[in-house]
Parts: sequence; C-alpha cells; structure tokens
Amino acid sequence: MRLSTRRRVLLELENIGCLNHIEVAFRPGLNIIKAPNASGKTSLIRGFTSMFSDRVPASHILALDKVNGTIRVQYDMGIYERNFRRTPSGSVVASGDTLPFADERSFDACVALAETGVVHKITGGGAGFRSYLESLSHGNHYSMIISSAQDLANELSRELAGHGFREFDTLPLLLTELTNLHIRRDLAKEKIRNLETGHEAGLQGLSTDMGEKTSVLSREEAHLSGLKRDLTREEEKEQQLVSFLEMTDDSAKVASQIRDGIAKSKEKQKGVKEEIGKQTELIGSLESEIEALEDQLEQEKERETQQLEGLKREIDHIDKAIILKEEEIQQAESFPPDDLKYHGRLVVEVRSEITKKIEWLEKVIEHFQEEYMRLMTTARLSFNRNVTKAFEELNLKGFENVFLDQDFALHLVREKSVQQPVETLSASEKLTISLVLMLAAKQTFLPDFPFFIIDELTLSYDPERFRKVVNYMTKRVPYVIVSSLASIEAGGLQVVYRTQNAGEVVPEIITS
Amino acid sequence: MSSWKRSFEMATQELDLTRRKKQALDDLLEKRRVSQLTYEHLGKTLTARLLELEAHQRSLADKMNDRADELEEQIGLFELALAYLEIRHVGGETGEEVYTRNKQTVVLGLDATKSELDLIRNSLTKISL
Repeated sequence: MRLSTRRRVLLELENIGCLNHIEVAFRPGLNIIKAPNASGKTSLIRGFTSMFSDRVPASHILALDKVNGTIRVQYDMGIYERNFRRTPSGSVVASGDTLPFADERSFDACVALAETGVVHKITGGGAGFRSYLESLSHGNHYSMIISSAQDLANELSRELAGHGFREFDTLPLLLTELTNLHIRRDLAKEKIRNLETGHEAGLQGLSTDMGEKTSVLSREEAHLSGLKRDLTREEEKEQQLVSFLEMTDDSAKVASQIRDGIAKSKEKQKGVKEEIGKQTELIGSLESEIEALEDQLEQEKERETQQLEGLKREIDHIDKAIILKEEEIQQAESFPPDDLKYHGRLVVEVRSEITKKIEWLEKVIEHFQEEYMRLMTTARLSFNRNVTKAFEELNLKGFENVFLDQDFALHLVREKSVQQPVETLSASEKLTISLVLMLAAKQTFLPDFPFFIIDELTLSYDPERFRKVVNYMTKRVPYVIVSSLASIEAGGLQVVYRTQNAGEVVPEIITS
Repeated sequence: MSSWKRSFEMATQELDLTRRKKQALDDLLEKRRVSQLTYEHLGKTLTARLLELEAHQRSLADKMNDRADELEEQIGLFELALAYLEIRHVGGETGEEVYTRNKQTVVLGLDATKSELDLIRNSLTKISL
C-alpha cells in the first residue's frame, strides 16, 4: 500500500512510557525528534511501532504507573487507535487497531534501535544473517514446516521403536525358534521310528538265537535220554550176566566168558555215565544260555520301553513348547487389548500406516527444503543486490563489496579485496553497515512500507556519514524518523522537519 | 576339500531351514495363530530369501557341473597315464621301482578325483531331489 506523501501523520500518545500526553505530526521527508535525555523519545518511538508491530511487549509501552494508555494515529483520512490496559494480575494487554501496512517484519527492516535487531547484531560483531533473512523472506514459515514435519517424523520413528513394535520385530526370531522346535520334534519322532525298527530287529535276533538254542537243547535232551536208556540196558545186561554167573560152575569156561561180559558191560556203563555227565553239563549250559537270552530279551524290551517313554516325554515337552511359542507369536503380532493407543490392532497394519506417514512427511520435508533453498537463495541475492546498490549510491569510501555468502555470513571486503571481520570495524562504520543492511532489507522485502525509524544512533556517529545515509533514506522512504539527543536548554520534546526539497531544518513543536 | 562343498552344505542347510520356516508359517496361518497380513509380511521376506537361496543353489549346481566335467576329463587323463605306465612296464621300458612309484602316484590322484566326482554327483542328486 502506498501512502500519500503529501499528508501528515498525526500521532497522539496518552500514558505511554514516560509521556502523559503528547501529540506529534510526522511529515513526508525527514522528521527529527529532538529532546534531552529521559524526555520520552524512545517511549514515543516504541509507542508508534506498536501500531504496526507487536515486537515491543505491551508491558514496555504502557506507563508503569498507569492502568490504561492509548495511542492514536491519524493518517490518510483514517484514525487508528490502540489501547493498553493493565490487568489486576499486573500484565498488560493491547487491543484495538493497527495501521493498514502493519507487518511484523517491519520492526526488523525499518526500525533501527541500538539494543535490538541488525544494529545490535553488527555492533556486537555478529555476522550470521540466516535467521534475519528467514524472517524477512518468510523462509521461517518453511523452516517451521520443515522443523514440525521433522519433529513429527522423528516422533513417529520413535514410536516405531516402541515396545509393541519391538515385540513385533522379534517375530522372525520367534518363527526360527518355532521351526527349531518342529525340527526337534521331527528328530524325536524319527528316533522313535528308528528305535522301534532297530529294536524289532534286535528282538528278532534274540528270539532266533533262543529258538536255535532251544532246538539244540531239545536235541541234546533227546540224546541224554538215549544215553540213559543205553545205561539202563547195560545195567540190566550186567544183572542178567550176574544171574547167569551164579547159575554157572565157577570153573567152567562159560563162567570166565560171563565175567568178561560183566566187566565189559561195567566198562561200557562207565563210558555211558561219563557221556551222560558231559551231556547233562552241556544241557545245563544250554539252559543257562537260554535263560540269559530270556533275560536279555526282557531287558531289551524294558530298555526300549524306557527309551520310547523318554522320547515320547520329550515330544510332549516339545509340543507344549510349540503351543507356547505359537501363543507368543500370536501375542507379538498385535498390540495388547488394553493398549491405550492401538488397543488390539495388528502391529503390521499400524506400522504400515506410520511408515506411510513418515514417507509422506519425508516428501513434505524434501519439498519444503527445496522451496526454502530457492526462496532463501532468491532473498539473499536480491538483498545482496540492494546492499551493493546502496553502497554504490552512497559512495561510501573504503568498501569494495559487502555481501552475504551461501551460509548467510556477512562479508565486508575492503579495497584490494581484503576481508575485514565485522568486529574490527569502528563504531561509526558498524552503524553505517547496519543502516545500509536494514535499508537493503526494507527495499528487498518491504518496499512499500512508508516509515524508517532510527532511535538515538547518532551518539557515536560520524555526522557527515550520517547525513549521507539519512539523505539516501529520505529519497527512498516517505517518512524517515530520527530521534536525537538535544540539550536541556532546547526545552522539551520537539519534532524538526526537513523536507526533501527544502535544504534547511525547520523546527516545529506540536504539543508537549 | 573344495570350497564348493562348504558353500553347498551351507546353502542346503539354509535353504532347508528357510523352507521349514515357511512351512511353520503356513501352519500358523492354518491354525489362525497369525493374521493374513502378518503372514504376508513375514512370508514376503521368507519367499524372497527362498528365491535367493534357490538361485544361489542353481548357480552352485552349474559350477559343480562344470567341476564334474573337469574331473571326468581329469580321470580320463589319469587312466591314460596309467595305461601308458602299464605298457611301458610290460615292454620293459620302466624299472619295477619307478613303475610302482609312478603307479602309486597316479592311482592316488585317480582315487582322489573319483572321490570328489562322487561327492559332486551325490550333492547334485540332492539338489535335484
């Protein structure tokens, strides 16, 4: 919005700072507020800035001993009023109008105060201007979006690392454990099959052995019976021969033959008896072997039973472990029903949603980072152009180039391309640089803002240079307001005007 | 032993374990212990791994086939060398001691080659199963 430069701006303050009531008028061109110390210059400027910016807190504007205060501005056929009220708790609230060209950024680009903003930064030796340009170019909106999106993405990422998701992430491990249990169960079953098959073969072998031994035993027992029968027959034969011998004459030849026969029979009986003895021993041994085989068979059966029972118990344990593992898996796939945020929902589903959100946020971040870079680069280049232009037009000696680099660091290049750190500048040069940077910022970002205000910066200023800078401003800004210290003899606060065309200063006291 | 053997054993073991895992997962779905979504999530990884392992095993099989061809050729050469030794021995061109030593060396090489070839063939059979 362009203000009619022919019109006066009337400012009325009541109970503002140390001022009870004052009315001043600003004319197009240079307006110098002259007053001794503690006369209300800063109160006036602070009050006026509150009509287009909230940067000065309301509590710093209202007079300390007052409950209510008012600022009224008349310009361009309109009257704008802003009221300040102290609440019972002691805080101060502001309400009412602001000027139509009100813009928060104007405070940074068009109000030069010693204690804040660019002047404060430069006089303190600061050279970083990123946040300054961010704020003026609205790049801070992008950085806020980027920062908020990043915070949200980080928060979501942290959420993904939370307990429920961590449990879910153990699912592959749980599945491996379950698989191992299945493998163990299959192995145990295979062992049972092998045991049953092997044992059957073993028992079969033992049974065959036993069958063979039993058969041998039967044969040997039959042989023993045969031997015993032979013995009985031989004994009967001997008795018969003894009977014959009794009936025969002892001297007869027959008697001698019978006695031989008896002797032979006895000899034979002895042989058979020996053979019976051996046979009995053999049978005893066979019976022992068969008994041992029976025991072995029994033991084998018992061992198999024990092994099978052991394996079956193991399978039972594994089955139980499988059920528990399956339950564990079932629990890990969902949030608990009493989960405050995701009660009972599937983790995979929630994770997919959150991942999509993060992906979307990353796209937002990327997009706004690109936008931010583009905006900030454009802002920096325009700003640099205006700084260069100002230096050229002001014809300030000593500086070859003043610019912000890609990192928004201020570079001051002296003649012969010598870089000079900001902190090594003289106080007067620091003020010049500050004002030129502010003016460049105003021209870049707020070209239509009608005011440029300088509050008491002239104390340590080279008057010639200050005059140059102010004249330069006056050509470009409709209203330039400068506060300046005056001697006590000069009286109260007064505004002195110097229009662009008139070469002399014309003091005018409106009201004080 | 050749490096293929260890690679083959590892690949076979892992492939077997992955197949078992897939089976376990299928069982879980059948028993309704996991939802379809979780099944798909876990199954996707397992299927991808299975495909990867199968491809790896196929590539291994190709290399093993190449190696088997080499070994067969090598066996042919050993047998030829053995026959040559025998002929020279029978013809009295080589002394007993030299013949025995050379034959022992060739036979050792031949046996080792045949043994490796057998191992490869057995392993290839397992893959085809």
